[in-house]
Amino acid sequence: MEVFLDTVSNLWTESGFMAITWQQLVMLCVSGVLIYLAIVKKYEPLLLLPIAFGMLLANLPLAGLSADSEGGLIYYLYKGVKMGIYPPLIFLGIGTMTDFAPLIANPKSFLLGAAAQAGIFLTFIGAILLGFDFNEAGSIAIIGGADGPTAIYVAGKLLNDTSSIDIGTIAVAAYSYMALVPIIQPPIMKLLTTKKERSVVMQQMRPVSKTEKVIFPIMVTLVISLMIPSAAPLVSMLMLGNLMRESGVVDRLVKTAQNELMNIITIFLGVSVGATTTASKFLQKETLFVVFLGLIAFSIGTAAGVLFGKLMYVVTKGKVNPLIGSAGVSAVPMAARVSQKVGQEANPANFLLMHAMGPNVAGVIGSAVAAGVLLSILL
Amino acid sequence: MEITAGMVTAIVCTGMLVVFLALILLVVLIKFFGLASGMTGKQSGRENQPANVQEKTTPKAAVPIVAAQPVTNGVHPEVVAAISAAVHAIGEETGTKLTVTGIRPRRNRKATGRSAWGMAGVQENTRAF
Repeated sequence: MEVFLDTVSNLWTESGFMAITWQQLVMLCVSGVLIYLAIVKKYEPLLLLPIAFGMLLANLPLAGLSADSEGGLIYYLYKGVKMGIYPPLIFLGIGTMTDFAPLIANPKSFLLGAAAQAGIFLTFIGAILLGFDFNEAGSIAIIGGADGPTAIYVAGKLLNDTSSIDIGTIAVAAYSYMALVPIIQPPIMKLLTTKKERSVVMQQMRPVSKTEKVIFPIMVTLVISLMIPSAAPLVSMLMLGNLMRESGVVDRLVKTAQNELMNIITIFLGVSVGATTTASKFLQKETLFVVFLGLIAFSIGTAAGVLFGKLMYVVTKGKVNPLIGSAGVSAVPMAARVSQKVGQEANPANFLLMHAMGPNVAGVIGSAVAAGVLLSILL
Repeated sequence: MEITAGMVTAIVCTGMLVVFLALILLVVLIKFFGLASGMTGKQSGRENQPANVQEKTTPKAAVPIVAAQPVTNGVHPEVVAAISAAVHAIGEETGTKLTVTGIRPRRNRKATGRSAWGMAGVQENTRAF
């Protein structure tokens, strides 16, 4: 009987119940809220759910499941983030699912995708003013690109053990704001445009030939990789996926890249990024700054896109609807849907979806280029 | 790197400039390629022109048949036939005698940039959004 009681006593004293701290309890509650948002509110559930569960794992005392617990399962999975492997593979899958035809038909959309990246660089200044160092500021600013894999890729490269923020915080902020695009963007779009501008019906786009669709990914890979080599891993994988799709000769590979490969990487990426959010790094004022700056980055990116759209409206004498500029922040296809919805509120006969898809996919390339620029300057 | 106002400004300006330059270069290349492939398309179109002219002359023989129809304001005979058939079908279904007295194209087509059929198609495909 004594042996039995000793064993139970030992089990109790060595259990997580005895080792858990109040900070870890708070983190478990935070992960519970995120799981709720993913399941019930469906906020980017494909990534938020594994990220939130990773957060839960990282804050289980004595389990050794945080990303920095050497030798543990997540420690090895996290290598794929730290070494910059997962985000380009996610981009490969995204490439197989993206139709660049609206962008090829109207290449000026690239300018809207470029303008929306202003959110990244202006937030960089804000982060420096709040006391972050260059690498931390770059990692926070890239949230404005509204592109989860790009944000994780940049943060994985720029942040280290001594940084005051972690990749998980960046990822949670980026994906949360991407899910909130339909709430964040419309007020800014309406504030910066008149009803007349929002009602503009754009001309139908020209058809794009298969040759153009096949040449496009090769051309983009060559131009971007030669100009900004540090953007090559993201852009080249995106374009490889797209070339596989448009070539029409490797259907099996396309199906694998957009389903099995993408899903496996999403699980690994989400869980391991979530597992970086330990209480010691997450529960501090810097996390609040990241959340605040992320919102600023998103808002500035949206505003810059819309303002550049207004400029194009003036230059083309009213042929461009400025609302498509907000889709330049990436967040495919949510931002394009928002342009469509706000445009249709002003004019029910207006269909901006395909026009907005141009700046939207240009934003993906633009944010990858901006990421490459930040990496080449800051690393 | 030491954090100075000059350094931050340089990073921000360089960043935006490089992003714009890279994407402007892509705009130019895609425009150029689009123009080149467009010209090739036009050339192949010109080669087919004689055949098209012959095809265009043939339907003229059918004009007298259309002339016997009610006011159609230049609407294509096939469209007239389709609308008349649809009206006839509805008449049969409801048991009422319907007569097509005139067909005219919608004048507000320019406002939306699409025909009624085009609008219906776009509505169907974008309803989910």
